Amino acid sequence: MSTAILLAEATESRFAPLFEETGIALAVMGMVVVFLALIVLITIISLFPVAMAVIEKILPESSHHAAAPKKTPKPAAPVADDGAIPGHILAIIAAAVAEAEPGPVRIVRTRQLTTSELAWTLEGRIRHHASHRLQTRNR
Amino acid sequence: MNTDILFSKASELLETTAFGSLELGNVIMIVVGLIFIFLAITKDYEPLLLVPIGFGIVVGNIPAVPGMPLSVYDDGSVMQYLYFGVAKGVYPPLIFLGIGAMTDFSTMLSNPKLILLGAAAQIGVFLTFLGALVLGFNPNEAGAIGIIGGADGPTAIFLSSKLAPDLLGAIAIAAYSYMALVPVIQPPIMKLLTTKDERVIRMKPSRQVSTRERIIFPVIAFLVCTMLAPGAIVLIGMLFFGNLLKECTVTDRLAATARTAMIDVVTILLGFCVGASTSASHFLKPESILIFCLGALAFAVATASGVMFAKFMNLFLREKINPLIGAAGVSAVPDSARVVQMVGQQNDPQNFLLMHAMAPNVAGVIGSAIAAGVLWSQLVQ
Repeated sequence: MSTAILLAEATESRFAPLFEETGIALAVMGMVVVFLALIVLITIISLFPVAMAVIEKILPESSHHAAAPKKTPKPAAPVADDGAIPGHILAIIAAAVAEAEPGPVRIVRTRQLTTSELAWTLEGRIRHHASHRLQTRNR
Repeated sequence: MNTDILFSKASELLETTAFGSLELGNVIMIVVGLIFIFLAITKDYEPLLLVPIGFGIVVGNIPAVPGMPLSVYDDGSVMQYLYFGVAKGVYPPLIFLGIGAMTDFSTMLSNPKLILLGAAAQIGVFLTFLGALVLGFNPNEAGAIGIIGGADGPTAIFLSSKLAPDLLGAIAIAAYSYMALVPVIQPPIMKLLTTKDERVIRMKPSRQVSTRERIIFPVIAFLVCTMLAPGAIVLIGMLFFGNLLKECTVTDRLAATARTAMIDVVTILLGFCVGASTSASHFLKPESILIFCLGALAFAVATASGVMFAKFMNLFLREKINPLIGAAGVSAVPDSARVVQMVGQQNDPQNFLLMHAMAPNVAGVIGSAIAAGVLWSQLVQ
């Protein structure tokens, strides 16, 4: 009987800190504050698109901010096509350039490379020459 | 006679070396430090943290020669001056500045409801706080231990330096160890709590966020968070200040320094000093084992809370979210987001969850800093 009482007292004393001011009450309050702060943040962020549209009307984005990356480039004027490059290839080139360049770009001209300019041919030639492991002569 | 002189000289010489006062605890800690370095180099477990910490542990466990101020605990030693930044919580806000300068909040801004997952993961912090109270730690110590569940090393160091400086070494090592073990700890919990159908849910791509939104966000977020939890001013302030430097487009040099050279220098100092503070006499105690157990619990509960909350959100959402991304609510940036991507791709190789997971991931950084601010403001005497 006394052992049971001692055990109950020990359990009670072990859990006692939970019921003080700095126990469960603090944990619940902490979670409430975290959730509250982030819910307020969610609400404000959700209003961003509307707010931005209003701000854009009053205060259009200045030029040096517009120069930041990820700005969608305006549709380019018809490309001067000297080498009869197919339209779908032109679309791929435009997409690659838009992805690679940080700011808005406009492609004004494309040209089919001649055989001597082709990068793959040049690379193949370099590899071929490099594969001979030519010895440099000591001078 | 000559033999006696030689013997006494040899004895004196031995006393001036570290071998004379080397204890078993020091040897154990040196082995632990070497294991950290080994894991970092061979397994790639958070090498930027584990190498400085591991070497710091080795340095901190070379016994000091009596009368010579050498360790971080000796007044006037060089190591103590370096440790000042840890003991007074100087380094963590500087780390937060760097983190802010390298964090892209775009995914969070494009899908703000995912921020809730970053809040849900903080349940781990407060449940562990209660667990530590039950295990006999005082409220200050319990608060410092609980924040391990935030999975944010600098936050854990900052809070323990304020609330429980005596436990700082154990808490810091536990926090960084579990951060390094994110790829090991999280996947089993994520798989246990989700079905195959849930793991293959694909999410819609995020909308494009304008430059202006990204500039305004850190200012507004700072005001909201610190008005509600002023204790978070230091960490949250530096985080959003760093982010403003990155996004405002006119301070690229400052942002580049904050996210490269500065954060690297502070990481080296922080990791090395934390390691050096784990001398066997201060670290090898029963409380350290309890802290490691509670830290593991905190991390597991935080992961589970995020996943379960994502499933709960799915009950109300028309466009379902993949519950795996809830695990990224713990703020181990970007490791937990990478783990989400990895687990997602194990079930559907064409499912790309990384950018979606970054939203709760960065929200977790904010959430854990707020949780730390609340605990600090309520518990500091």
